[in-house]
Amino acid sequence: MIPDVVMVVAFAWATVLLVAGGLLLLRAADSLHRLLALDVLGTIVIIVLTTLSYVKGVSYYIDAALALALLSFSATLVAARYIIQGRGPSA
Amino acid sequence: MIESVGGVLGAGALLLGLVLASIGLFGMFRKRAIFEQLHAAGLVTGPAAILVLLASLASARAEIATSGLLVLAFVLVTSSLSTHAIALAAWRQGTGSTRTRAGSDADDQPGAGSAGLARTAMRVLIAHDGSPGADVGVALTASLPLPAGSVIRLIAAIEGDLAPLSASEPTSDPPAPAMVDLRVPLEAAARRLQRPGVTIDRVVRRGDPSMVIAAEAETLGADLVIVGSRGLGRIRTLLVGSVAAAVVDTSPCPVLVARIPRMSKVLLATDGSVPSAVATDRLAHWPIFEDVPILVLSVATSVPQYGDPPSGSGMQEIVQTARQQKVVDAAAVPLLEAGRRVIPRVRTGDAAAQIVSYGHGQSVDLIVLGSRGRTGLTRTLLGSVARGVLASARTSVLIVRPMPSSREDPAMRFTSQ
Repeated sequence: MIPDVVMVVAFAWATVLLVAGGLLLLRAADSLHRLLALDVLGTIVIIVLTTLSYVKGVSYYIDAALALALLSFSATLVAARYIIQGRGPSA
Repeated sequence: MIESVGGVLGAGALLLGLVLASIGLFGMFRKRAIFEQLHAAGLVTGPAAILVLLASLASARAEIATSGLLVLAFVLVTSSLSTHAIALAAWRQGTGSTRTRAGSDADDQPGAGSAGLARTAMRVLIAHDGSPGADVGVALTASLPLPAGSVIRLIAAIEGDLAPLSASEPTSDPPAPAMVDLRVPLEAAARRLQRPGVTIDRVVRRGDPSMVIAAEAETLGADLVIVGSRGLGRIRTLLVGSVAAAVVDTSPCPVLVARIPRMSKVLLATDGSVPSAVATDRLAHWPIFEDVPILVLSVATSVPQYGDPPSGSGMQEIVQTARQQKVVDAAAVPLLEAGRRVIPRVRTGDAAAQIVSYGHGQSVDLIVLGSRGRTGLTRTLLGSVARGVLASARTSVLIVRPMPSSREDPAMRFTSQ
């Protein structure tokens, strides 16, 4: 059993990381940096949801994290693909 | 008892994971370049996420542990794949190329300004031996529109001592007189090159010049090596020419042999080969060629190919010329796409002689040509063209060789398009 204090601290910390990730996304200068920031942000949200599920002692949040991991993964792949190929000759 | 141990371990994993995530994020804030950011991001998406999810084993409920492990397995697979996808996109987009900048302009992205500059920044290594010829290289570099964020490193090589480069001798014994002599011109050169946004540093190394320069280019990750040429008397020119040629052979990146201290008109010699395509790619994407008119020349050699009309009919030359015209057009397209000013030309005769004479006739400042790697008969043939041009041209010469190294060859995507 992880002590409650640790879980609460971890959750708060993860939330701070989430904010930092958001700042990183805002600061990103071009689509590649933005994509990378989004990818990292996805992972941070997974971390937040996981710690939330520890705090609350329920598994729903972690299931949501699973769905999110799946979606953010495919989104990253598609976006990366788009960056490579998306620019037509007219761009 | 076991529960409390599990709790401690779980708490440790959770907190360590968060510490790692914080370090990774901090790295992402500190570093601007995409590959450096990817490196830092790997800490967040990899170890940090894994540790936090591992902590689920210590949680009170079985469902949490099961779901946590499921997510963990998934993250193990996907995080590496998505990092790979992003890195590949970054590589394809070509960090340091103006193609990305053109792309960002089209995308109308706010804030693309500073990062765009950072991405097109170049790393230039200038070989300096304190001679007036080396100053030509410095003057040429000073006239180039290097974007902010570029790095220029001046290197002086001292011959004579055959001590290996890795030997840790520099601090122990007092600097050789030659080393002191070289520091003064290096400093003067650095002052000439000074401009806002460009980092300049100087190094003095011992050993064979071409090897020292190649090693330094590798360390610096140089895009371009610039070597001077003295142009003083035949024998000295021959000597320096051989150093330049040796640098061309050993350098991991394109080498510019500077003979004219400016670059207002460029001649690209192409033969439609992969090295030529790489050379074209450099011309199209390096920011230093942004506002320079580019003549594209292909020389039809008089060697007939299979299926050509019989010689003497006059047809052969027409066929040859048409073939070269196609080569020139193929090279002109990427240049035009990159917004360069292009003038295509075709000539007939010996390749090296025609390239040089055309370049001189058009008062070109720089001749750019691709040269093959080290193997194969074709290398010998093309290599001899590059050598011939290098030896006989009075203009500066930029020789681009596609690298057989691990880096993905830009020519590949070039030819596949």
